[in-house]
Amino acid sequence: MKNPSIVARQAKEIIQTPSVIALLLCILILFIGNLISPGFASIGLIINILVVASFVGLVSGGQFLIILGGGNGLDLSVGRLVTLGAIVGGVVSQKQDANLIFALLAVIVVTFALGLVNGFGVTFFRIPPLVMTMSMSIVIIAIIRFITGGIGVPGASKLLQRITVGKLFNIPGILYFWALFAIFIHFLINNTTFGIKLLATGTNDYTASLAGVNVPRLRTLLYGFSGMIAGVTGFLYLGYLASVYNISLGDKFTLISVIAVVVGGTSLGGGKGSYIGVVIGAFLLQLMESFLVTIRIEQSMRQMLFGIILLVIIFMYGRGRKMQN
Amino acid sequence: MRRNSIGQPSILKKHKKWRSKGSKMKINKQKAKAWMHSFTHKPYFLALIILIFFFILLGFIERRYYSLYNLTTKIRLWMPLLLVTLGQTFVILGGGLDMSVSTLLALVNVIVVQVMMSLGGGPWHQIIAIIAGLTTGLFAGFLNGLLVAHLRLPPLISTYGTQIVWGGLALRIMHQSGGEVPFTWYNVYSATIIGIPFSLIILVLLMLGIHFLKRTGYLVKLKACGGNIHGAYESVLPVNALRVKSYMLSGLFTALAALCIVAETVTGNPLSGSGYELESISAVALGGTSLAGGAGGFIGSILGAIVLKLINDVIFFAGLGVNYQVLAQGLIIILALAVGGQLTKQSQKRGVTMLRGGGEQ
Repeated sequence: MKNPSIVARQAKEIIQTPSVIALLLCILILFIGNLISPGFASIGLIINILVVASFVGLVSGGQFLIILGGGNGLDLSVGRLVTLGAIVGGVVSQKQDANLIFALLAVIVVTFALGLVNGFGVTFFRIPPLVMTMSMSIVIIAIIRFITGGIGVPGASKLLQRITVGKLFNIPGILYFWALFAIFIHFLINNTTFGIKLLATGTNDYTASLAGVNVPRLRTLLYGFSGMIAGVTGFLYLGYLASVYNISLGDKFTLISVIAVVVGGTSLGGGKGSYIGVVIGAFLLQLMESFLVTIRIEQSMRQMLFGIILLVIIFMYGRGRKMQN
Repeated sequence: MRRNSIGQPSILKKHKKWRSKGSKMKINKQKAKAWMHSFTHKPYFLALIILIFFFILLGFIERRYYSLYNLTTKIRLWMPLLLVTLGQTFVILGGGLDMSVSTLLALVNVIVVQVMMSLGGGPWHQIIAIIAGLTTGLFAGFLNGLLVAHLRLPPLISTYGTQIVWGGLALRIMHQSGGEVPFTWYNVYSATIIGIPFSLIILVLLMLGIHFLKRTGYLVKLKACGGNIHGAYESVLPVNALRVKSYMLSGLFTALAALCIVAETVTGNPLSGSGYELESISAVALGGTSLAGGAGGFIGSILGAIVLKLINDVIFFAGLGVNYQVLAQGLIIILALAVGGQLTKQSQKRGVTMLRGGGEQ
């Protein structure tokens, strides 16, 4: 007799997990969108939305690791690092396919180093992550201006464009990257000692350090990884855009990456969350934007609706504990 | 004799009669040392040092910087950031964060201009417009407070959400910059009374108001709330009301900043104030206020905001390009906070040894 109630409870628990709510919201929006303008939920359009979402999703990967590591961790320099990745990639490769591998290496080295600077500031100099990464983004925009010198930057090489936008089985290359990345991060969090250390640090850094985790080194590395991921995303973004049209092309990723993580059900306190949720979160945000474009309302109204829906989604499961508990 | 690093007067009085001249000097020295100690451990000490350094540097680079005309102009231009930073300080002291100040600035700016233009522009209409602007600020702050305190949403994300909403609303009210307010606004705002600029008088009045708030005990309660919210709740403090009030104060100060911008530009701009949220948070952090909440002060915030503005002037008058200006701004914030972090770390360590009975020699 107990079985049905257990099943019901389990079903209730599953429905109440944030990522499931986000997924249900995605389906709901697709359904309503299809009612309003038929063809909204077609495979082709969904793939298009996924492609745009993939860049947010990739950047959110680094953000996700940092937020998971706790200590009010946050990286607000990712947007500018995306731009830097695109620009360094363009400058080093000079539109030549042969230089592509050097360009990728250069992007990785530069952005990883800048991310490490973030990490050192946060862990060893105890600068609040919010201000540290924000100031770092100011430094990065200066570096970008020094590199470009106000002149245009060489665009993407043919191969890079083919890798990102070119289609294999009707699916653009970037989505394969995203899928591989998602599997990698999921594996990293759940099946490696690094992941266990990370989750332990995020839950309670003091007990983690007592258990032998080198917390400062771990967190510094996280910022390095986040910077590197943002840089490589920028490199791929260059392939998607084909050229660097302005030096603020990555700025929009900064806060949206944090929001995708939160909408995906990771608490800003750290120690709990899954990258699958982040993937759904990134998709949901992009879907919402496309939906608001589809229903044809003024841009200002669209912006307001986006903000309100965002608040409603966070209200549904992003709330803190009650005082009484 | 008992060593006294704090300089307690009662003990000093007791031994006054038999104390020789030499020991008196020694005690004066100790008093001075104690005063220096308390001064160098003020949270805004670092910002003050940087500020003085920049002022001296500017004096060397550009003599005319200290002309009365330039300084009054500068204060006028700094006012919006100063006001927003003061508002942000309330929220951060309460353990929150207000990302919505940037677009709220634009929203109030647009509302003031639009209300005045649609009413006609007479003296009474201007007052109504100002009241409408201030009410908007208070109400927006109230909504932020509701989201953060009562609905328990994370401050960063929820105020970013409201930032998007205010921005959309501002664009809805006014599609592009335009409209005008009477030029008397500018004349009043840039006026000087017995040589003192009007904007400085506003600032001093506001600081007096904040001092009054300190007297009522609000700030102490707010800091308790930011330092340890559960402890504050268990001490029967009205935690939610305190936090809502902090957001309302932030909204009010932002509305005042918007009025300053309207008076300075004499027009409405739905995109004004972009970047103010991050700049004000940096200024607060530079002023020695802990971003985790619970510790810090308003003098520091003012100094921090002025330092941020001075960086640009220093680089500009030094003849370096705009790129260096940006680079220096980022690097100086990072360096200042790194040094500040090390200082607090040391003083914390010292505090611990004192608690353990080690004491200072």
